[in-house]
Amino acid sequence: MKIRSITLLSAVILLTLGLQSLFAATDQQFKLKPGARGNLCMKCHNTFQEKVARKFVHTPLKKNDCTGCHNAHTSNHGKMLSAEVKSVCSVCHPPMISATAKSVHKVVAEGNCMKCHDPHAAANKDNLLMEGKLLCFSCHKALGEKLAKVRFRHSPVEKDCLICHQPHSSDKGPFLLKDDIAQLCGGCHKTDKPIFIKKHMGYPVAGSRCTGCHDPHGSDNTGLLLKNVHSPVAKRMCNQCHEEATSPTPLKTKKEGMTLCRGCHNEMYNKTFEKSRMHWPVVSKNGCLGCHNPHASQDKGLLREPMKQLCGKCHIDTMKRQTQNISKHEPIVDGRCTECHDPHSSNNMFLTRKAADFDLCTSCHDWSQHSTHPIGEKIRDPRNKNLSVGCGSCHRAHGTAFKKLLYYPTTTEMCIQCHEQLKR
Amino acid sequence: MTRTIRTLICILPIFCALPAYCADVVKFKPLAEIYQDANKITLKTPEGVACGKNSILVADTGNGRFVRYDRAGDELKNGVEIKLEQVPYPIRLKAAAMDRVLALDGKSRKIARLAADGSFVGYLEYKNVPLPADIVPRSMTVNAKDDVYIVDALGERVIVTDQTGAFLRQIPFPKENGFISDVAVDPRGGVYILDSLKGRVYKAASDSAPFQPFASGLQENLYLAVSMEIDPQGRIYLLDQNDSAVILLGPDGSFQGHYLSYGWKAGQINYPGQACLTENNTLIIADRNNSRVQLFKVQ
Repeated sequence: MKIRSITLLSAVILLTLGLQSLFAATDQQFKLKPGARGNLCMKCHNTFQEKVARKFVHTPLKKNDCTGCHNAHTSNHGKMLSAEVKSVCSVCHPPMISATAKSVHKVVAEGNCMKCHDPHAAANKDNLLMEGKLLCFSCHKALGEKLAKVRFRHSPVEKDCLICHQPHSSDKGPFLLKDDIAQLCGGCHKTDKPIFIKKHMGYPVAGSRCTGCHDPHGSDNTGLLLKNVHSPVAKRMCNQCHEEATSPTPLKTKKEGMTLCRGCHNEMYNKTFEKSRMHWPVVSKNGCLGCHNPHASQDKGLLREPMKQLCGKCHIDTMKRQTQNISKHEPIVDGRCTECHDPHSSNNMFLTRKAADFDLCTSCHDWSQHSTHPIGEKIRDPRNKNLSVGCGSCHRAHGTAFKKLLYYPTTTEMCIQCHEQLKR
Repeated sequence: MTRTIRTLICILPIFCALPAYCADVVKFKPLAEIYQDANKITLKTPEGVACGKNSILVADTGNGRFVRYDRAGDELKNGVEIKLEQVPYPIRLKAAAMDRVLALDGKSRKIARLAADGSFVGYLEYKNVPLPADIVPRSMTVNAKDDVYIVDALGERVIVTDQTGAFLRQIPFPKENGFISDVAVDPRGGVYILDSLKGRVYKAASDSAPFQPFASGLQENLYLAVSMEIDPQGRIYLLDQNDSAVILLGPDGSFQGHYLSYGWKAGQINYPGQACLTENNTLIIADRNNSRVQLFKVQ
């Protein structure tokens, strides 16, 4: 045993010496001055003396090995890096994204390590640019601003985001969470405690997705409930929709699908179904729950997501077209889809709130500010005798690749589509 | 002389290959546009069209009526208005045997059975269909035996019934489906469904088989396809509503081409609703937002 250890130790020493001599040989071969791999650099880059004095120094710099990352002579990359920023870190550091990751931090996926880490030295552990949540909020500004204003903050948020989140990727949950939502929350909030059971009206919610009702960061509502709470939830009347907590199937709803919702929202239901054109998700398997969260939501109307994201999940092409626009149509940019469309049903094409596009458009756009081109039901479109001239004859509401949402790159090209006699 | 022979030898393969090349290229030749009925009442946002042997029926959705045109080859004549109070808002049609037609009403979401003359025969009354009891048909088709295949948006399945509505069998949608908007059956009994959101076509090799991906990776070429037709060679015509185009797939599901474009003029289409194919390869498109029907010869 002892002999084997000695042999192994000798091998390591020999290997180390071998490598050192190899380096030395290379240094000699290139006639490098002593310290050419790092110390010499500091003579010119003297501001680095301050960096080196910081508490946490990146190992290559600590070893005075600037050539670990930089090429002293030429480079195709910024800062004379020996490789692309995306890959230079991975020369030494193992991949930060596991093959089984359920969620990945965008900056990590993009290889922007330096958004969080200082490549030379920092005052914070792991060479982080800032300490704890300050670093996170430097990008997640909206969250930081919101938390500064809310009445109630989740205590881990006050300490460190990394109590709940992984910084690089997570194999266990969405949003870089360290575990599945219910299990993560259950780590602190013991679901068998009487206070927990009482607050949840005796319903077995241990396996439920807590974030369906609670904001894990902070809220103005007690119990960190989301901004908009469905009335029965706010009144703690879970049994209005669900079977009694004491029943064998307490989480089962009393009725299936939209029949349950109709019990209270009957007027809305009737209005929806009396129209000719239905938004198909309304009558699909998920019914109301395709778009609405039945318990609580950050968004008005208990929407599952902000409208832009929610509508954009299905209307992918429409949203994609909008991103290519030169001129942006504000309601689309802001995700105010329901300003023009009825999300449930309508008697009009594209589920618009008004039948004629000029009626719809003029609810925001002042017609008197526009050109005097005649439009209206009586004005026929020369390109197609079955169509009248409306705003949509020249502009595409969801955008085109051209200015002012026009179909063609120039006004002239647009006009000669109908006024062919003016074509040159 | 030698030079001439050499030149001819070089050119000959090109001439030989040219017909084969041309045979593979599909062309859409605009044939006609239909703007009105026999009484000169204009069409308004027609969403559905059914190609019968001797006639075509148009769902003139905006006017809440049907218009039946007699068909002689590629020529459409007359244009008889048919108003049915049982189908106030027709959105999709499918021709059945003997020029009968199935019509889906957008408001009641019921499938009506129409006789060859366009008269109302009755609704398709579902019998013995497994739960969920409610059915929300999004589209339908018929096979050679006149069995009806219904896309049930609520139950996420294709229900197969006989022509009276008696349940025969069902095929569940694939789990990862986005939104299934149409169904088609090929001459060999293969059942196809069109996933508008994910830009995919699934195929069930027979009525008893599950749906398997057939054509995928079409997202680059598809915006929101809503209608699907299959020709006798097994080629699939996808009508892309939001891109105002027709996408042609080969019998193996491979992408063959992107045809037609957005616009108002003859030959251009504008948010089309449905297409049907005649036996002599004429594609008839309900050109919804152009408020007309257009005929294209597929060559």
